[in-house]
Formats: sequence, C-alpha cells, structure tokens
Amino acid sequence: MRVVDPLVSVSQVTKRYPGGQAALAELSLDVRHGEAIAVMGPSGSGKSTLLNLIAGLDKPTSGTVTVAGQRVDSLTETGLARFRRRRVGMIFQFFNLLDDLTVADNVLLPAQLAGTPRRQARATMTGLLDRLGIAQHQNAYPGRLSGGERQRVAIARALVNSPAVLLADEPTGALDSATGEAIGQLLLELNRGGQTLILVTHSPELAARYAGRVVRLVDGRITSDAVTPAIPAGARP
Amino acid sequence: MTAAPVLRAAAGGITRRLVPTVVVFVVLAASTAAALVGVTLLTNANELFYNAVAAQHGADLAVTIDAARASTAQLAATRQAAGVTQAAGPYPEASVTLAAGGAGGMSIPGLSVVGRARRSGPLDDLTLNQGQWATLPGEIDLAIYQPLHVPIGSTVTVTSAPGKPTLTVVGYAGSVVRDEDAWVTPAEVTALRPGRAAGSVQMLYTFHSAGTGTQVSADLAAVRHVLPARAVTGSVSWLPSAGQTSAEQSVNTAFVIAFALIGLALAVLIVATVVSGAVLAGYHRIGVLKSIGFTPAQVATSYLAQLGLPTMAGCVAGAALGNYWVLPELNNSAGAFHVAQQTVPLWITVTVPLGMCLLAGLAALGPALRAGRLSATAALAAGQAPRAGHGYGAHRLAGRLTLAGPLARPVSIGLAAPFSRPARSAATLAAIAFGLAAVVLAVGLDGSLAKVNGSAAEGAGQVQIDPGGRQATFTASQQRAITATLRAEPGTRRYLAEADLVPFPGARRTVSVPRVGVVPVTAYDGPAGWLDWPLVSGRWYDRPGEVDAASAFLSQSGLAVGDRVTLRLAGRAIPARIVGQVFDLAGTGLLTSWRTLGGTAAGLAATQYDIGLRAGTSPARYATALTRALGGGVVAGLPRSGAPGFGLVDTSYLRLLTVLMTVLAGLGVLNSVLLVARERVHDLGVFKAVGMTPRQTLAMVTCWVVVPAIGAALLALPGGMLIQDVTVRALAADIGLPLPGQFIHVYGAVQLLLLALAGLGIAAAGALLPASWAAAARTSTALRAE
Repeated sequence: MRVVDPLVSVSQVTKRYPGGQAALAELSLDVRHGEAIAVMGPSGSGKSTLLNLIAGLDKPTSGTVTVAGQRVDSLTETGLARFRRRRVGMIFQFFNLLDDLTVADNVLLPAQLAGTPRRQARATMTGLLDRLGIAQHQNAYPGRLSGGERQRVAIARALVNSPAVLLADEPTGALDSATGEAIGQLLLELNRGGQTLILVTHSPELAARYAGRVVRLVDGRITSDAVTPAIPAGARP
Repeated sequence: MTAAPVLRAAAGGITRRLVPTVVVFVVLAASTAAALVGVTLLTNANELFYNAVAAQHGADLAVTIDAARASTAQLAATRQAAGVTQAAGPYPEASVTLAAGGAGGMSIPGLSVVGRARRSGPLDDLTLNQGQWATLPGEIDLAIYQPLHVPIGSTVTVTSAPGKPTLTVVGYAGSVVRDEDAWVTPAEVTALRPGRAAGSVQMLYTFHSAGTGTQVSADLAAVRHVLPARAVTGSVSWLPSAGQTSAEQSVNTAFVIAFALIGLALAVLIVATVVSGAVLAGYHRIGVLKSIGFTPAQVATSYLAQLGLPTMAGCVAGAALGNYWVLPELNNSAGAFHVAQQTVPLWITVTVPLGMCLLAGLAALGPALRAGRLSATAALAAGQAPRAGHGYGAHRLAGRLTLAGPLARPVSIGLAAPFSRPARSAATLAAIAFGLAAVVLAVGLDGSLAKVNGSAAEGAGQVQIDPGGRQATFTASQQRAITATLRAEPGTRRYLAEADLVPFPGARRTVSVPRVGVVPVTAYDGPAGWLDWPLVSGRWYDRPGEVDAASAFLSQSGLAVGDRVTLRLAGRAIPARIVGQVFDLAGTGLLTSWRTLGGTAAGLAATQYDIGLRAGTSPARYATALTRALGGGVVAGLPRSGAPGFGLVDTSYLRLLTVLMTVLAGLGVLNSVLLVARERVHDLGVFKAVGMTPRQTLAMVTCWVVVPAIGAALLALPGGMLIQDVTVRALAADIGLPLPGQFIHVYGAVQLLLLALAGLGIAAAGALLPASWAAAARTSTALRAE
C-alpha cells in the first residue's frame, strides 16, 4: 500500500510565549492534499497560533512544522517570507488589505514580491478577479468596497501565487450572515477544485458545512479530530 | 486635578516610547547648547571690545607729527581742534627696524616705538601682559601683537638706528587700540632715530564722533588744520584695531548664531513631531484614558508631562554643555582684550534653557490639547490608517512604474508612501532640510574662508623673488641677472618685476595722494592681469594712467571706482583714474603700471619678481632650483598665505556644529520614520505576511524618506546657499572688507550634487534604524498590533 505524505505535518509542536502558558502543547496534526479542515475551539485555545505556525508567521518553541515537504520551523526570516509567497495563502477576519493600493495592486503584490513575470501575474490577477466576481472593482480602493467584496479581494490575493494550502482565520467573522454564506460557499468551491483549506472558526455551523474534518482545540491540545458527517446536498447552500 | 494618575499615565507613555524620549532629550540638549553659545558670543562680541576700550581709555586716533614742523604750542593747540574731547602727549616716537638675536637675526621694519614714562595716562592705558615696565635706559617693552617674539631678558638690535644699539626686552605689553609696537623710556627714543631723520612725536586724541572711517578722516583733518602743512606724517585709527580684535568674536558669532537658529528650528520641529506622533499613535490609549475618567485637561497634561522630563533634562544638559563649550572661547577673548577672565553671564545660563523649555512646551501644546479634545469614542474608534484619498495617485503611479519594469515593488511602494501621510512627510522633509542647510552653510563658509585665506597668495605669481627686507631693491645688475636666469630656467612661463613704493622711514621714493597722505603703491613692469588679483568691483587696469585700489584705500580716502586721483611722486603730479577695487586684506594702497609712475626714469626699481610657471611645474622645486641658479643671497620662495580677520575663524566650531546639526537632522528623520513605522506596523505585518522579505522591507522603509529627501534638497540647497551668502557678507562687513563675488559664490556643480546626496545620506541614516526594526519585526506580532 502506497503511503502519501501529508501536505501539512505538525509534529509534537509546543508554542510558549514569554511569561505565559503554552499556547500549544505537544500538538500533532496532519493535513492531506485537497482536504478542508476546520480548527475550532474557544478563545485562547491556540487556533490562531496553530495557523500562524503553519503559515510561517511564527515559530514553534519545540516540535516541527512541515508544509509541502518543507520544514517551516527551521527557516530564516527571509526563507519564511519566500515560503509564504509560494506555499501558503492567508485570509484574515479583517481582510488585512492595504488601503492605499488598488484592488489590482493588492492582488498583484505577492506575485510581484515573488518575481512572477509581469504578464503572467496580470493574467492570473485578472482571472482570479473574474472568477471571484469582482473584476469591475480592480481599480477601486478597498475602502470603497463592501466587507464581502474585500474578503473576495483578500482571497484573490491569497490565491495569486497558487499556494499549496489556503489558510483562513475566521474568514466570515467580520461579515453579515448572507455575505458569510457566500464567502463560505466560495471556499467550498475552491476546495472542491482541489485547494487544500485550513479554516479557523468559532462557528460549528460553518465548520460542519464547509469542512470535511473538524479539529477541536482546548488549552493548546487537540481534544477531538473527526470527519464531519456528510451534509445532504440539499442542505448545503 | 489629581496628579498621581496623570503622572502614572505620563510615566507609562515615556516607558512605552523610549526612543522618542531619548530623541527629545538629545535634540533639546544639542540645540540648547548651540543657542547658549550663540547668545553668549553675540553678547561677548558686542560688548567686550568696547568695554575694554572704555576701561583702558583707548584713543580714537594716534597721530604722528614731525616735531621739526610743529612747535610745542602748535601741538598744544591741537587739543582744541574741532571735535577733540581729550588729548594726550606729545610722546616721543621713532619708526625702527628691530632684529632679534643681533643684526643678522629676524628683522622687522617699520615698528613704532614710543617713549612712555608710565603705562597709565589720560589716554591709552597700557596693559602689562608679561615682565615689567621699561624704566631704565636700554630697556624695551614689546607689544604682544607685533610679530617679533623673543624671551624676556633677551636683547633686540635696532638695526635702523646709528650704531645699531641693543635693548633688553623687559616685558610684553598691549594697547587696546594697537597704536604702538614697543615702548621705551622717553629719553631712549632720541637714540633710536635714524641719523638724519627728523624727530617725531605721537599725540593721542578722542573725539565726539569717531565711529566710522569718514568721521575719523574728518577728525584727522581737524587736527591737520591746526598744524603746519606736512606736519602730520602718519596716523593710526582705532577702527582697524576694533575690526581686527573683534573679528574673531564677530566672525564666530555670525556663524554660531546661524547654526543656533537652525538648531532651534530643528528642536521645535522635532518636539512637535514627537508629541503629535505620540498623540496620533496613542489614539486608542487616549480613548481608554478617557473612558476610565480622565478629563481633557488630565489627558493633555499627561501628554505634556511625557515630554516634560526629557525636555527639562535636555535643556539642563544643554546649558552645561554650552558653558563647557564656550568658556575657552571667552577666555581667549579676555586674553585678547586684557580684561579679567570671563564667565557665561548667569542670565544667559538661566534664560536660554528656560526659553528652550518654553519653546518645546509651546510646540507640544497644540498636539496635547488635541489629545484632550478627542472624544473617548472617537479616539477608541480611530484607526491608524491614513485618511482616505491621500497618496492614492502616487501609489497608482508607483504601481504602474513597477508593472512597466523600472522599479521593484518594495521600492515603488516606499517611494509612494510619503504621499499617504503628508503631514508626517513634511516633518521628515523639514528635518532633512534643516540638517542639509546646516551642511551647505558649513561647506560654503569653509569654501569662502579658504578663498579669503588663500587670497594672500593671489596677485603674487606662483613663485616670488624677494631681496629680503622691505627697504631693499634690486640693483640694475641684479635685475639683468635675474631676468637672464628666469629666461633660462625651465618651468618659467612668464614673469614680471614689481616696484613696491612702501612708506617707511628713509624710503627713497614714496607716493602721496592729496587729503590722504603717503600711500603704498605697487607698480608692475608689464601686463599684470595674469596675477589674478581678486576684484571686488570694476576691472584690472590695462593702460598707463589707470590704477586699482585696495578697499582700505577707498574707505580711507572716500574715493570710489571711477574717481580721478592725483598721485604725487618726487614732486611730480600724476593724474590717474581708479578703475577697480581689489581685494587685498593686507593692502591699503594702489596698484598700477610701472609706466603710470614714469618707470625707471622716475627712480623705480624692482623690489620683487612674480613668476608664473608652466603647467606641471612644482612651485617648491622650481623655487629651490631658482634660488640655486640665482646665487648671491637672492632667494626665490612661495608667496605667503594667511589672512587676518577671517583667519581667526575657529573652524573646529564650524565642524563641531555641522556634525551636531547633521546628527539632529538624522534624529529628526529617525523620529519621523519611527512614528510612521509604528503607525503602519499593521501594514508592515501584512506586507510580510504576503511574502515581503526582511531585505525588501528594509528597502521599502528606507525608500519612505527618498521623496522627502529630494524635496529637502530642493529647499535646503538654495536656502543654505542664501544663508551662507548673508553670513559671509555679514562677516565681511564686520571686518570692513567687501568681498569679491568669487569668494562668496563658492559652490561648484559637483559639490552641489554631492551636497544633495548628503541630504539623501542624512535621510537614509535616520531611516535605517526604524527600517531595521521594521524588517526584524515578527510578522504575527505586527499583524496583532493596533
């Protein structure tokens, strides 16, 4: 039987902040290609810390983090920046768009930093904006867009370098329910297209509807890791 | 108002913002020190010389009178001449040549020796700096400001007197108006006069009005009026002495004040930036303080108090530093004026730091009041993002430039960033501009001073042949030999003989000008335009009958370029026209063609040769070879350099102040960029989250200051040049010498380009620390930051 390496492998990871308790305690987790998992838990359980470690935004105190075959925990700051450009895309609760750049410039930025040829970068950007239904806003500034439109821009930016894994930290947390549904559906479609997705959320409903696997954290430890029951097609948005 | 919570809030603000606190301290210390030095020197320069003149009963005018032409009664009658308020004398006087170490030693001609039984008198009290007063025959006191310096107890030889008597130097003394060079007992003077020279006496006068050259000329005319014709053979006014002795103070003061003003402006700018930055960056904190019950006054006070500690500490440190810095200068001045040791007046030590504290407080007041006025909800809700609309165009253009190819994205984002925060960028621009203006000023002053100091070497050729001693001229055979040698010497490009008709006792040929008296004249035997005398105005003479005049001659005579003047040489009247004003610090006379004065037929003989060399010829090696070729004791040498007045400028001050202002400017930039980096820390986190490397972040943040630096260069280069122009003209006016344009406009194109790059360097140096901090910041921390 052929064993497929996981796309994301978190092994015996502890993360301790100065003067505080361990945010994560010897946590291990594997995520396979094309999987969509939701990480849930109460505030302070370590969800965002786990996401930051996988994204290379932070480093573990001990343990290893491997993404797409690359050890993230041992990279230099420059190495981490290059890793983030190529391997991961991040979506944040409050979008984190750069207000003084246009939508197009926001989306193009990771490609430009990665040195993607200009023509190719522009083509990818245009395709993504089309696909996400915001092509008409490409010359607008984020401040003039609705929350849902901003999150779509953020998703486009996260995808512009075709990352191996898409990380979403409370992607619907700042949106009204209808817009949240639309963004959830979009993420689901991306996952169906083969995009690996790790989603941090407080919402059991969002987790149940858009993730095939739910991992629950409490005090930095995994308390449950379960495949969600198949949701009848008609119940899905 | 309850003070404790306000102080605790202020203390919290200080510890949270340590770098701006240190910046405020350093800036206030440096600018207070510069201001204290400036104010002290200004006060010192204006008062010290005049106080010394008053204390020592300085004479306005010392007049040398031929005793054979004026009777004792006529001398006494001068006391009642128009405008005279006080008179002293007659004191016997002789013009002598003194030689150190016997007749073969260093020889100084034309020294005025006066017979004074006592140091004090109704006018011109003399100060004894070393040794004792000459009371016995054979003793002499030398003036400390004349060039012959020998140990007390050693002898000097009066080589101009019959029998070349020797005198023992018993002390060094000084007259505040520098109207004599040495003093002996009255009886001694007779023995020092040249054999057939008529006896002279010195009369000292003060007048109702003697503040300007014109007034002193009128005063001298009034004295002449009551004396027989040609009785007055010389005069020394107090004005040159005032100009020279106060030059150091005036010159130093002019540029120290210019630097102090720049320092003050920088301090105000930086303090205002720091406080407004603290307010802007602390909106959320202000909201929290208000939501827990802080009143507007308490919020404002807490922000003022945050600045209070570093401001007060900086001002106190600056006052101490300024005192330490200026005291040696004050003591030098005290020594020059023979007055008691000086200290910085208490009122300056107190008021300057207080004034700086007040200035800093006023600068901080506006932002602090704004913090107090903010509503709690508005403050809590206010984000750190720039106001919508600012900088969009610049960012769009920068994005296009990246897409078009020439600029990397981090660079283009960095270049466009200043437009998102125009107020902060303006503060950065101002900090760079002030610092760069200081550097431009310093470079320009240095250039002007170098030109002035080098001017003594101009108008003299690259190599000179001098017979040695001002009385000597070359004989006809010597002149023929020199000409032949010069023609034969490789490296000679051109040469010309000059005849210096210098008024000194026993001179065979002198030139006099009506209403002025005997004036030194230099006559050139051939076209002398290549000597490149610096011209203040007019042109170089190009035909017989035209003369160029030194500035001192014009101010003494009241004549101007274009005026006609009659020269008298050996009883012959020579009409001439003044066609140019030359810059000659040491000169007081006229320059003209040999033919104007009648040439050898009129008794002119070469006193010096000026030689221009072929390109690539070393002047020093040429002079050595020429001396060897000439033989017979005739020596070729390089022209002397060094200029009185401007040469007194302490360039160590200049360099220290330049470094200080540059550091202040760098701190201003550091402070501005740090504030922007803190305001944009979240954006920095986003940039890093999407893959910006530390090096790219460093480049982007450093590029934040490029546009302000370019703007600063555009303002500071002309601004600094203007300040330099005004300052140099002020210095020249202090010394009473107008300067040629080329001495003021000293900046070259390459130098200006380098100065503009210096602005960029100041900006980059200031931005580097915050940029490094931004590059090293943890991405997750930055993203969490508000």
